[in-house]
Amino acid sequence: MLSVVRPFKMALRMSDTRPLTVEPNAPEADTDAPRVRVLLSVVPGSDTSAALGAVERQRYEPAPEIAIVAASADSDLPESVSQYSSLEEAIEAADSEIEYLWFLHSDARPRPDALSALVTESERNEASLAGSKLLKAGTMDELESVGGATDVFGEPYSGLDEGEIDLQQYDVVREVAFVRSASMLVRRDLARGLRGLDPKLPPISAGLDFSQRTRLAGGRVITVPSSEVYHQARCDEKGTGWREQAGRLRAMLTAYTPLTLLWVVPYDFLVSIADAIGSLLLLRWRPLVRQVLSWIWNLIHLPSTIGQRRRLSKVRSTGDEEIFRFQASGSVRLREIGSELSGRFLSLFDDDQALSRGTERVWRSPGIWGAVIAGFVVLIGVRSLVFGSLPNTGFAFPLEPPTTALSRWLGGWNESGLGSSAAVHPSVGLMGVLSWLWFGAEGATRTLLTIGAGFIGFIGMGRLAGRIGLRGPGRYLSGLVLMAGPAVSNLVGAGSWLALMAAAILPWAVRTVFVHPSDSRSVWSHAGWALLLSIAIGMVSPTLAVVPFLMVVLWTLARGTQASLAAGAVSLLGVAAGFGFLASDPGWLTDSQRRLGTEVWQVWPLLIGVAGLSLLFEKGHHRRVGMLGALVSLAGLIALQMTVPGPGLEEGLAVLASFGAALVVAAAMDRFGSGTGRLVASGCALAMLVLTLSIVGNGRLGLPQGDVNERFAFATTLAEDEGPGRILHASVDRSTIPGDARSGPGFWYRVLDGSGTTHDEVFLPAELDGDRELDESLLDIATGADLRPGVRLAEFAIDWVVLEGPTFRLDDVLGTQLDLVPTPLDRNARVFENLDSAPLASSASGPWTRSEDGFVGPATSGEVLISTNYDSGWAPDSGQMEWFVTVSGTEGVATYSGDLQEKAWPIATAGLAVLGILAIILARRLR
Amino acid sequence: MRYVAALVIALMTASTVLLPEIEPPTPGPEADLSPPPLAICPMVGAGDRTTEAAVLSSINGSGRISTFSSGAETSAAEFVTGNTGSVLIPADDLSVVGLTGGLVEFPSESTAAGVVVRGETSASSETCVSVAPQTAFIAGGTTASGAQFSLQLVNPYAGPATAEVTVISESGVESNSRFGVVTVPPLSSVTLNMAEIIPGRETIAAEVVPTRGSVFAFGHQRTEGRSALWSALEPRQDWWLPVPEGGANRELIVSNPLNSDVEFQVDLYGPEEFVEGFTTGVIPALGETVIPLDLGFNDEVALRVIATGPVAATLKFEQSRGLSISGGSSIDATSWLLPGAESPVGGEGKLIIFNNGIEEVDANVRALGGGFEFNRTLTIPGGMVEGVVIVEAEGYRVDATGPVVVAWVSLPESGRNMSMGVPVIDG
Repeated sequence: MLSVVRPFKMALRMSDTRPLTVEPNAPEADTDAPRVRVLLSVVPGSDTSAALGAVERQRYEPAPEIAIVAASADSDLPESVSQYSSLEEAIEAADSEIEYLWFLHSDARPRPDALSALVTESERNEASLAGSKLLKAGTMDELESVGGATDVFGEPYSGLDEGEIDLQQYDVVREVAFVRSASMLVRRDLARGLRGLDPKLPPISAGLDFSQRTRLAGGRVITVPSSEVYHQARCDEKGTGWREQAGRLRAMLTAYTPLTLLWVVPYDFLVSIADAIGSLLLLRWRPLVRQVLSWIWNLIHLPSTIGQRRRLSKVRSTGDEEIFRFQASGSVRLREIGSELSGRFLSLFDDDQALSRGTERVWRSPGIWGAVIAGFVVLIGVRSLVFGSLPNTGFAFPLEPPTTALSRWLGGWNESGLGSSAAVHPSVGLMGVLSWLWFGAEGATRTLLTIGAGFIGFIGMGRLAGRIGLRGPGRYLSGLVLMAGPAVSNLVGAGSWLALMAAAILPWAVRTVFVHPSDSRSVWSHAGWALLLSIAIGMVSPTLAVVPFLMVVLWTLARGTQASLAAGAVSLLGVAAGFGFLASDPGWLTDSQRRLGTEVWQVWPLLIGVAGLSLLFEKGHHRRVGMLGALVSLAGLIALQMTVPGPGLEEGLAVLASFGAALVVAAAMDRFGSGTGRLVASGCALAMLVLTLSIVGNGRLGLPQGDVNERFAFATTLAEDEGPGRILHASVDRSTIPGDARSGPGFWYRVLDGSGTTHDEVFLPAELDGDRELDESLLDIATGADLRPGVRLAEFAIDWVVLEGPTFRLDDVLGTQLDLVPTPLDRNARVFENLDSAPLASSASGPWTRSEDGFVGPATSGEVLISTNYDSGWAPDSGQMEWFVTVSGTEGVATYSGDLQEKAWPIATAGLAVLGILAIILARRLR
Repeated sequence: MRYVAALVIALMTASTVLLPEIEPPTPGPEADLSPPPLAICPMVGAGDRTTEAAVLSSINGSGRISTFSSGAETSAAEFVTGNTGSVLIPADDLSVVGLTGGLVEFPSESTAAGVVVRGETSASSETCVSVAPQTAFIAGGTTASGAQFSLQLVNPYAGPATAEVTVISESGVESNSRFGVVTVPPLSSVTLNMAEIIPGRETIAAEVVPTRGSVFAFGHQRTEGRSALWSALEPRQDWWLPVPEGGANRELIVSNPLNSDVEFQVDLYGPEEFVEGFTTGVIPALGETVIPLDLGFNDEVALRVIATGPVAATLKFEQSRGLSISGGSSIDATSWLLPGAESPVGGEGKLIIFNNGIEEVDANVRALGGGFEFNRTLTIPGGMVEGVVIVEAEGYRVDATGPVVVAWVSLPESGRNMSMGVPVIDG
């Protein structure tokens, strides 16, 4: 755990106007303290002698050696101060007794304790690179930098507001993406290995580049706020010039692996173009020039960049993921420009000149204007997703890295709750595949999928309606009802990301079983697509895999002609995708206590029913589509009101109800007429469309706002060496619990992963011994009989208890116990730290930590206790002690491997998907 | 076909509207509250005073006693109640400095603890408190003539607690910045020294209402070398008070914590007769009535206080030999534990057993610990009080064939202790 630097003392700091002098009672020399050499880089226009004075006043023993780094020699320097023409030369000259080098600009004025704080915290946290807190010289402690994050393109994101005053609000030693080069302490051997700062880079980029290289070399980069340095910024560290931008690009090109560069460089190029265009829209031309100059400069210096990469490859010991860990999601540049643009755009929203200037050709094409409007609505509806970050709350959580996702799907260990060998939700596998296809960037995959869902959904609905004979504007507009229809909007509002995905994929899956009369493709093509897309929908929402077949049957019964019963039958194979998951947890289908409790506004069935009845008196396709849609939708809504369905069926029925409603809208708005029935149907459809405009409201396609992982990041930040344990989250308000929840005595609860919840952990597997044990423990704790509930919870590696929503029994009970300490770490919840916490895995030799596929730790002749539900798949030599697993500690590693039965369904699904792809390829060849 | 479809759609539409809304999922039923077997004790460790604790239990089990101060445990000791079901934890095992809190974790629910604070010229005792009152009221304090009265607020738990403290004296509700909302940090106690805050008050009472967490309130009184220690009461409408012998300076204080007047009646269960309505009257809002118990005879008696609203009934004995202040009991029971009850060397100890029913009961009195055999059964007629002289022990247990109310008093060479017993739950 990183340490808090020092207690809060705002009042003292704000009134502290004393000169920076040595305290008379300076501490006695510590002969064991590491030796430090100060490399003072001369910044033109700064007072070097004043900087030397500030260095000499450092309260640090043994006194640091001082070296000046300047392009031209200065004869006025004291004899004790050596001089070098370059930083690299100065680093090379440092003898082996020197442990640390302090890179300092001559326009920086460190406080007398700045160096000792850097050294102390570097030693304590085993950091290789430590940066100081920079305060703007000549201000009332205005913050300049406390280290920072970047986006994937190296764009700095400090998190500081303009003119923000230092009130010690950031005074926690923590790991950061980069620290500024104005004052950084680096291990001498590392500095030598990395050859110091890149001389071609301006200050901020140099700091970023050096920090990234340090991290890739296996070092920790920390910011030490107790080391305060006043910075005059004569080195022009404003970070806005084209050189800085070029430097960031070079830092990126130097650090990332070729695989990452393969997608980052084109992505950065596109972002640069978008940034330039956005800036031009705001009448700013400089960003465009900066972009051009930045790319040209990097092209010119490409050979030296390649040289830098070669040098780095010799010391590189970690992958790019180590850099990604400290990066903000999305593009900082686009976020800023997007935020400004959307603000201006919305202020001009009423001015529809752009629309009215549309060409006549566009408006004459049937259905196109419906697509344009639907696209526009979706575009507005995803604005917050484009310019911000995705929500991590409800049932929407980050995807795992593709290798992890695929291994868990293929019979790996299910980490949700207290762990289980039960199959994870099949969507984990699909998302793993998609992330892998998207160059392994699971974050970008999730963003693209979420934003894309709105477009995929309405386009799919338009294409499906087109295939069954509709040509009017309603076919695309109906996609809005699909995505935000009667029940889907409720589920998505509760955070069901999968409901959004399912709604987007369903029309495409159904479309595969309808064959257009003019379609000349072979039966292999239809079968292949039917199989592939039914597997996709089956993986996202297993119950919906039967819908394509159901639609074929109903359509045929209604005397429709384009449906293919054979394709429908093939699509039933998609059920296999979810079978393993459903078999291991049937309650997901049938346990109504686990459902979200979707409530549908009663206006919806009325509008659907009236529109459906009106369409019955139309002719041809409209009558059939309207009737089918109304029947499907109303049947879904009625079933939703029954008590039987569990969350899986609830999700499927909700999507089905919205899908049916979308069909009704597509038929009702396919053409406009003057007949009463047509007018009524169109009016109802229009009303439904108006209701769906709610998706525009929050800009996240209806997904809720919030980031549970960020809120509970304290579990990671404050974790001990063995890493974060678990969080017990409890509430009487079911909706405040992220993902699936279990029913406790008078409240809902679930166990969350302290290192952050991911998509595979959203649903809890069926209860096992450990879950029942936890249930009993909570029952005891809820009675108030347990004076030390922390001891009981430590058995489950629960480090934190978070109570949310209205206060309830546990609040009272936890007010009268001894080892769960209330801690004000969250504004919206009551957080208790477990003083008796225990690690997830431990042996007699000490705690073991998590690895990608299990746990690792010091080898021991004894057993390792792993606080997870017992399963014989753990190795080596798994055993059961009460409810948890023991393994032999002789190998220093514990891993899980599922048996063939657990892998059978995922393998079958993958095999069917491959068959589908082969069928499509075969059909193309035959054609 | 068309009309059939229309009928189906119409029926389905009506069904969706007419079907009752589904009940949202609900969590399981709430667990019955079952507080842990523990008690909170006031601990005193000054230059001339030390605290020892006595634990009595129905079973031979182990427990733990700890003292805490300023957010941390300052001392702890494990104990075993043994075959006698009793244990005395000497002051040497409890490193108590100043006024601190003590937490006793019991082996079972049918366990009680008490503390005895011994000084060179004083002695005081009180049973420890298991459940923090929702509203705690403490009466009987004074700061007149240099007397020291301290209100000790104890929070034995891991989370901070806050309480609204209202102090009432003969001047009315005291207004002072030290009162109002008082925060008691975790594992700490906060002491309000009334002699410093409001000196010269003849009568002081305080109401403590926890607003967050749990707060246990105790009173410490020192008057001319004599000391008393007693815990706050949860105001009730009905109180039983066994009153030891001793004719002079016995008084009953009935306090009204409400903002409205309360009528009350005191019934006397004397050695000869039952006097219904021995005293009646009205206690003004936020006021108290002091009833001198100058009864003209010296025997043990019992009192019953009945009021139209919740009140606190406190007995105060003040003699040159010692001082004791103790609250009444709002319940009766067939079994009682009296931790710390003893007959001190050179002094005398007594149990006062009051049969508050109308039927005759047989009460068995048994000494626990201490090395002396004491086992005596006496018959007490309905409505009568019996005093039982006791011997040196770690405590006593009383088991009766009907409900009784039991208190104990001891008179060492210097000092005076009095405490109510602790009714035993489930035996």
